[in-house]
Amino acid sequence: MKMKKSKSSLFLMEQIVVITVFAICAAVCVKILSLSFIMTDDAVVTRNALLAAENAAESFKAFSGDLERVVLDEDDRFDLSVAVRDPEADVIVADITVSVSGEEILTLTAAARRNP
Amino acid sequence: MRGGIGTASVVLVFTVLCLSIFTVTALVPAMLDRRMIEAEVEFVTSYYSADTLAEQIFSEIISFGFAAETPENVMGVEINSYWDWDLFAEVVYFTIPITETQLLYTSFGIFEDSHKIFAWQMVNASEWEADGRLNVWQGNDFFSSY
Repeated sequence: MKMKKSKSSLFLMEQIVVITVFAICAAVCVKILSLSFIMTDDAVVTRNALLAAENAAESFKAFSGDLERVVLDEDDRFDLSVAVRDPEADVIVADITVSVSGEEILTLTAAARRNP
Repeated sequence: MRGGIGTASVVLVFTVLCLSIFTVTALVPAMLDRRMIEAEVEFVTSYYSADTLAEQIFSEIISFGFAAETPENVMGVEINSYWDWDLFAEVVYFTIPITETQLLYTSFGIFEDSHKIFAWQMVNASEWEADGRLNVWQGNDFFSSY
C-alpha cells in the first residue's frame, strides 16, 4: 500500500514537471511563431510598397514629371507621397516616400526630363 | 495504469521536438524573406539614386550644346567623349556605380541640332571570368594516371 502511494506521487510529480516544461516550451514556440508571422507580413507590405514606389517613379519619369499622371497605387496598409524638389528645373527630381502607419519605410529619388 | 512512469516524459520530448521543428520551419523562411526584401529595397533605392544623378549629368552636358567642349568631370563623375565622324556627333559616355558589382552605363550622342541616347543600362562592374579552379579531367588518357 505504501509502495503504491509512493508510485502515485512519483507519477503525479512527473505529470506536473511535464506540464510545466511543456507550457514553457509552448509559450516560447508560440512567441517565435507569432514573430515569424509578423516578419512575413512586414516583408509582404514592404514588397508591395516597393512595387508601388517603383510604379510611381517610372510613371513620373515617363510623363516628364507630370504629377497629375503619376500612378499612385492605393493600398490601405501604406501611404505613398510624391514631393517635387524644384518644379522649374530642367530635370525634375522627386522624392517618392512610402510610409506605414506614419513610419517611413523607403524613399526613392526619381528624376524626369522636362523635354525628353 | 497502462502508461507507466516515464511515458509522459517521452511524449513530452517528442512534442517539444515537433514544436521546435515547426517553429524553425516558420522562422527561417520569414528571416530569409525579410533579408531578401531589405536587399531589394537597398538595390532599388541605389538604382534610382544613380539614375537621378545620370539624368542631371545628361541634362547638364546637353545644355552645353554641340559646339562646346565636353567637360571631363560633372558632379564628381568622370565623363568620357570622342568625336564620331560617321555619326558626325560627339559621343559622350559615363558610368555611375549602383552597387559594388553593378554600374549604370549611359551613352549618348550630341548632334548639331539634337541629341540621341544610345545606351542607358546596367552593366557589370567587372568582366565575368569562368571558374577554372576545379581539378577536372582534361581529356588525357584515363588509365595513364593509375
